[in-house]
Amino acid sequence: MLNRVEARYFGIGLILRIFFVFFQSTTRHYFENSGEFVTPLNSWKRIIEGIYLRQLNVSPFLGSIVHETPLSLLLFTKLYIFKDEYIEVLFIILDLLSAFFTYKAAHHILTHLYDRQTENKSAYKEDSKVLWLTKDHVQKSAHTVLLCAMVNPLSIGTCVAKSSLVIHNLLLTMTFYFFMTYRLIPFIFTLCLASSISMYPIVLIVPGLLQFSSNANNKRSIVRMFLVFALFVCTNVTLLFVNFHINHQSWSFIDAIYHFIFYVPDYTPNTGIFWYFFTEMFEHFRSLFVWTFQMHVLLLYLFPFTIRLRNEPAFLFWLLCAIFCIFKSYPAYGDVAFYINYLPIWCFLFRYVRNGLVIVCMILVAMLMTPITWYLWIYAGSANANFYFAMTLVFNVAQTFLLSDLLYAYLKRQFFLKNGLNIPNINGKEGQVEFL
Amino acid sequence: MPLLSNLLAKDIPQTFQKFQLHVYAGFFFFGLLGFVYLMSPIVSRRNYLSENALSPGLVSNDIYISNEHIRDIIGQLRTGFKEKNISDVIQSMFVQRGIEAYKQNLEDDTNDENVYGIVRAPRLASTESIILVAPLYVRIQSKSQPIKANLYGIAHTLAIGFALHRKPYMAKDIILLFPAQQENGTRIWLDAYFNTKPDSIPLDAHAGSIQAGLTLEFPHEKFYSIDLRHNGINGQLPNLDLINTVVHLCDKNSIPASYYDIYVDLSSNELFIDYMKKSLRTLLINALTLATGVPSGVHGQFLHYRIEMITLFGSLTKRDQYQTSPITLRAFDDIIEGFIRSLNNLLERFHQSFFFYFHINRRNFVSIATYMVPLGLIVAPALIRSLVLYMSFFTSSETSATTYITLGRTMKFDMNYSAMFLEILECLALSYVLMWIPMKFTYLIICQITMFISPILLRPFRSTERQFDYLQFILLLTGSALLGCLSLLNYSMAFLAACFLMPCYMFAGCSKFDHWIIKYFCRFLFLTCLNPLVFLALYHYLARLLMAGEFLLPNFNQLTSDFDTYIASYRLFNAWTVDVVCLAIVPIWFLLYRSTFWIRTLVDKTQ
Repeated sequence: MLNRVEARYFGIGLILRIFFVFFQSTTRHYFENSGEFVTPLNSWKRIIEGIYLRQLNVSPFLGSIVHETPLSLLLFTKLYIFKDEYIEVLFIILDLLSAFFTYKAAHHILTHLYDRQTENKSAYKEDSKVLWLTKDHVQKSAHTVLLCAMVNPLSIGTCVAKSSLVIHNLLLTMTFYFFMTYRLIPFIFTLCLASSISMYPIVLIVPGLLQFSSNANNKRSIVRMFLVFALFVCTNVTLLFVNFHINHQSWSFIDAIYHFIFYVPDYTPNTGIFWYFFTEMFEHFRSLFVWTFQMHVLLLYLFPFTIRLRNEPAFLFWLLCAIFCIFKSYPAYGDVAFYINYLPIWCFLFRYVRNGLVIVCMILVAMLMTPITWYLWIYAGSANANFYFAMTLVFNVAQTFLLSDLLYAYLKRQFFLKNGLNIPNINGKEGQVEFL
Repeated sequence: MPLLSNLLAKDIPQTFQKFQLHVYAGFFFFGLLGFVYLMSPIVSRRNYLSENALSPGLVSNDIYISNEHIRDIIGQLRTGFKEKNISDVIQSMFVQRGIEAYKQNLEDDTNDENVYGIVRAPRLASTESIILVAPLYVRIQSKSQPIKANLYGIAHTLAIGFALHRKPYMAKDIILLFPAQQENGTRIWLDAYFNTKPDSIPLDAHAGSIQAGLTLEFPHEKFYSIDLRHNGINGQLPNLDLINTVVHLCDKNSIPASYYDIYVDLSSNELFIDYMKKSLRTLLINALTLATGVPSGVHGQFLHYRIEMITLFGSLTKRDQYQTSPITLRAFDDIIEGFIRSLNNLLERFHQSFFFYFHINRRNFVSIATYMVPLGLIVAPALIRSLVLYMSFFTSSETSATTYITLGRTMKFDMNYSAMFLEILECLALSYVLMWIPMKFTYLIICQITMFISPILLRPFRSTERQFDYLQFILLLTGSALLGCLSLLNYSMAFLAACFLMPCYMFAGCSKFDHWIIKYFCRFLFLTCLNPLVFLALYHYLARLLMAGEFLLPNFNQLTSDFDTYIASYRLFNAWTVDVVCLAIVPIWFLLYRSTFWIRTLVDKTQ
């Protein structure tokens, strides 16, 4: 079971969550109502409305309130027979479970990296030894991941706000876990469930194809790739039909979920960049920019990254997750929490991160200032939407800095492992290698 | 981006290391001086009406209210106050003239009632409205009688309401509100009007959305000047355009208007030095009173609901040696009429002019762009120091000439974070106690003493030099982030907090000089000068000095009683000053104090 360190970390996380859920009603209230933690896609209030409409035998998707899949609505209806306090306990349990899976996934990633390193040791230069991972580092980083998932204020806030992102993140984390442990069927199943909720995770099938298409000799076969993809498509179609049947044989949920996610009709301010951009834009340019923005999330980085990082499935998977978490149409802090919790895995890259202080300060400032600018805009009336948007922009820029820095750091480390730390002199000058 | 670029930092020049303290102290004092300099005519701006729609009321007057009429109303009110049925009297006066009027019971054991009447606009449906508020009783600064009936204010509010009834040009409803129990009654009325509390009983009638308004507090039958009060909850201020309208109207009718009872004669009669002194006093009182987060009148409650409002108070002070007669009725009614007619013409909510400003006198103000600079100067040392510390954590190109520059950025040392975070958690928990205990001065002193001896009772965090630096780095970053956030919400509070915290940072940092005398001296300073309670006492004394405008002796009893009144009232106002102090400022101070207990270990010395 759990060893001492793990048990201690779990204890800390549990105490923090119980404290905020049951003893800090004002704080809980704040989390439940803040646009940074709760978006139309995952708000608990909307789920209750959906359950109520369902029980009245009215289609929950007729208005523009409910954006949950029929399947998850059914699940929530079954759960809602519990009293309110039990629902909160359930959310805490799910959040802790997802933290556990994060920890397990992190452990697998680190072991995988360590094993790969032992395999390839012969190819590495001897003087790059300082960059090598150690056994000790594997355990330590995994523990840090667990601690991070337990005390991350963004995770705690999402759990306290009873946002359905908790369940989405659990599914996504399980996907990552099954991805790392080479379990094809559970991987496809959780991935399809997650993407049926928020659409964006479908891009994760690409690293999935790379991972599961290789056979025992580490050779990728097109046939396998095709079979995995076919399985993915079949599962998705089956899920769609299951939803269709649960929804009394009506396709109305497609409009309420996927159209809602793709065309971004709701401009409620959140931490993303979509809402402000589309409020400012002329209506006749809308389709063009919707497509541009969505392609930016779904396709723009997908192929270059996949090609460059084809031999680093764990990093690729994490990077793609982070990208759609940042740029999705209705992002919340819970999405950020999902990929930030994995960040300690890459602590061996931090030495090559250029703007560490800048990124930390930007994220800190943005997170502190967002509620303040919201207060000044909505309550005090002395500021306006630009203030709030400026803060979300800072937040997003900081995240993109973080990703690009980590990507460079990863490639740089790979380069040094293969070529050694000595920079050769070319024509009497230090050699410079441009990014390739 | 080249893949092989050098990430190593350069060392901080030795000369800067040597003069660090001077630089920081310089920034701090320049910041303080800069704040004082805000009163100079070079920095401040002359006010103007940004919204053109507000001008019509400044032009001509239409209403004439006779002395007899007012006297008659006052007579009726006086009997109402005497027979304790003032709400009935006011309601019947409304009903007699065909104006709808309602009462609202406060639902407590006093049986007090709010009264309000709505003068409906004949031109439009009730889409927008203006509100005039006259509290039944107002606070006055006299020892014998703390509150007095607001006779004159109520009478004029009523008279104006009656006169404007069925005037064809009125396009907005006028709500005339007479709240009992000052802020308390106002708050209950507002909660019911906007239905913000689920358990409050809804009001009988509503008017259109309330745009702006005026509170009239005129307890004396004669007054010689008008004092403008604009402090809202948590340092919130009404839109500058609204205040400017009133000031313009006062000037037009030759009524002297003042802030905080300080009148600045803007003509050439006044000496420049007097002008400067008075402006500085206004500026400082502004900062000191706004920092408390408590409003200076019932208008603060309305600002909370985005209804721009200020309070006019009829002051007995004569502003001029030649001023022999009190303000005439005519002039006073012209102000209210002009104000209402200006607002009547308004098409949008107040949004044009400033929301963040400091008044230095009635005609000049300092805007946010200017007053942020001094605070920036004061906080700058924290940012510079944190950067210096950050750079000292990493191997630099000079110290690590032998190692590879391709190694990237590495810390010079291994860090044990858990002890540090335990310490932070401990301090937060100890300060959190402040939220639970009753806020009495004696309890606070006990709490302080516990905090002071806590390093002896509890096992102190015996940090090494490295950990000390790291803790300082974290504290400096959080401190400056906190002050930055506060500066947008309540600048005055941020300014005072910065004045308190920055010396704390400096002396905690000074304890790094490795000599036991310096260490003990730093701890002694934390016990005496840099103690939050001492700072509070200093603050209180300074505020009293400035308010009185003459020399006073410090008075401990006054401090405790004022503190008790403040604590009793601040919850009513939804202010969060105490919460911020308890949960953010005190923990930082406490951590800084405890960080002076670091020790130089053997490991450090060998390094």
